Amino acid sequence: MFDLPIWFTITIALIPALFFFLYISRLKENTLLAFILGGGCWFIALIARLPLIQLPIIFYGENFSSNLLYLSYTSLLAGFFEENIRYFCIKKIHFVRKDLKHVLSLGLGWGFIEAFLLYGLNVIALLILNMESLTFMQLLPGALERNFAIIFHSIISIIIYYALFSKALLFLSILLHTILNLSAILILLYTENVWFTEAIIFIFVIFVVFIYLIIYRKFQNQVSKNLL
Amino acid sequence: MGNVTIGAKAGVISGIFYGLLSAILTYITLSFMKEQIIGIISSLLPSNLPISIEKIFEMALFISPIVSFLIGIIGGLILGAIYGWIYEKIPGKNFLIKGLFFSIIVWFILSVILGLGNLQYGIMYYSINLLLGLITTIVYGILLSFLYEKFISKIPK
Repeated sequence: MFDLPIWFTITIALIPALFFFLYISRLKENTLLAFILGGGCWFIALIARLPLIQLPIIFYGENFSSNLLYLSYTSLLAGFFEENIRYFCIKKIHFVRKDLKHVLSLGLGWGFIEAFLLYGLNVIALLILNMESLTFMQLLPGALERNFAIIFHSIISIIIYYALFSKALLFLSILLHTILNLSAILILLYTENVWFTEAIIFIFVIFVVFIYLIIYRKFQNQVSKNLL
Repeated sequence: MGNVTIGAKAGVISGIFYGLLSAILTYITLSFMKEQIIGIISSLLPSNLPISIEKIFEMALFISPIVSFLIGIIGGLILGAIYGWIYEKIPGKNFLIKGLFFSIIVWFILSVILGLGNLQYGIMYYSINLLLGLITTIVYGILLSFLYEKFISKIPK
């Protein structure tokens, strides 16, 4: 239960985002609310799409879950639900779009809660189940991937903020999210190389950062200075 | 119209208590119903599993309260924001009535309707969840309503 290297991977997955959040927000104003709200929205997006994820399995059976069509469908669902809920949240809840700190806090909370529930709790579960065969190096790629995912969620949250000015950016976000999810699954499935898959995810996240910079240049004059 | 931000703030604080209470009650329920839960787990899983059912139960006992606590905070914030949004439409002239009314509605939706899925684990499990859900939601609702009134009174008019 107190296997230090394994706890270290959980730390790698969760602590950088938490420290970055504390650094940018200093817990001032409503940033903590935005952070928790991000986690809540991720959770709602997950629960909302679960029936649609299960539906093809009920109709076509368990074997369909590894079908390329099904993998594309679930990736699209993730992009569609998560980005639309993020858009709704930023559009409807005023304090979330107050400034860059708040939008970033939403994205960081989104990624952090996802990392905690999908990675942290699963690794703890493995510890309880005494899966001693799992080593630090086997768990490390997942921990790094969570960091890439948190960066992705933070950047996408800002892009979604800009989507308030141009709805095309909402569709772009859905597309980027879908491509990221689908490419990660497919590359892992066909190469069976975890490190290669993580490298591709990292490159993709860098690509998303570049897209953000292009969007920023285009919209910086349109968006009020005191916002972003 | 109410104040969504104040509602979310009051919701987070109430949600911490809601989550803590839920976590404790979840742990107690799982511990007391160990035999029944193990029976349910073993009926759902294949018999040739390399891990013992006891271990899976141990895992559930550890993880369920953590998840309950987190959902309490997150759900608390979202419900608090909704409370702030519909504040003026909630019947009642004081915080106690408003809080009680809101919590009964939340309990009915979350425990009575959405909890119907628990019926597959037996009527006993469903009934216990209904009762515990009622206690935690009322505590949450009254606390939320009390904090909302307190925070809103501090805003200069």
